[in-house]
Amino acid sequence: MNEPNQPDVLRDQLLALAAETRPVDPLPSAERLLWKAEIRRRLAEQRYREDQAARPALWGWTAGLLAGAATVVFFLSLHLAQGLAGASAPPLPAAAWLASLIAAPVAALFIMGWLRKRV
Amino acid sequence: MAAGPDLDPAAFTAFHAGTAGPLWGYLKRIGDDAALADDVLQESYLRFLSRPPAAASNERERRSYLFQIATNLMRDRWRRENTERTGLARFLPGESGWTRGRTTADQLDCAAALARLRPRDRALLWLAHVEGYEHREIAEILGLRTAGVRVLLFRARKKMMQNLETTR
Repeated sequence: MNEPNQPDVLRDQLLALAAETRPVDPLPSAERLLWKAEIRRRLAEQRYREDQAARPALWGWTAGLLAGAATVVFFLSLHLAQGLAGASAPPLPAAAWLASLIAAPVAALFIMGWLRKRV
Repeated sequence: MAAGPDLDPAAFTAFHAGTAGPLWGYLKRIGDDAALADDVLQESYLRFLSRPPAAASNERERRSYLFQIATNLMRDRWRRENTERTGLARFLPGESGWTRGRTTADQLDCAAALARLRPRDRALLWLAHVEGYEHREIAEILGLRTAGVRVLLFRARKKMMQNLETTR
């Protein structure tokens, strides 16, 4: 591909140039680089820990959200069914009424809190 | 190259002693800027330490890995520099610092002839002739195909010889 002597001439010249190429300022020592790398590593670790602490427990929140949504759906379906059936329907057990009356506002509050946190 | 466990400080000190000078020379010659070479050299070692090569890698592979990091950092700097220039409308579209050749005043030496090449060509010549890397290693360092290195190196040599002749 090349003339036989060309790469050698070039190599010699480049090697001579490399020998002449010296840093203007002293290069950072290995100790300094190791120290800087350690500082950087610690900072990254600290940032990671802070992120972890600040981050809500995603699975917990998701489970809570699903439970809240299920409660609201249960509450609505229960009362809708009762309304559609009219007077002929048997009355709901007191425990079911109580549970739906307590659980529905709690679920709504939970969902509102979750939405506010996301915003 | 896969990242390995943290490098032993003594091993790193020895590695640094053997690579700092050559790496600085490489960065200086491909970037034609001593201050830039200083910055990129330090950052290269820090990246190397934060993501060291596989423990099984030999000295030559570690060195090649370091040069690869440095080349990528240099390329990133040029890209950023080009983006800034584009914003200022002082830049020719379609060219990047990595592929653009510098047009310095003619000087009667090898450094001037090298500086007139595109940075990628400078890197090719330096890695092949000064660092003595094989085509496969050069391809890895510069992010090229191994088959392409042979052709690109041939063109770079040719251009360099032309530059040397015209500056004489």
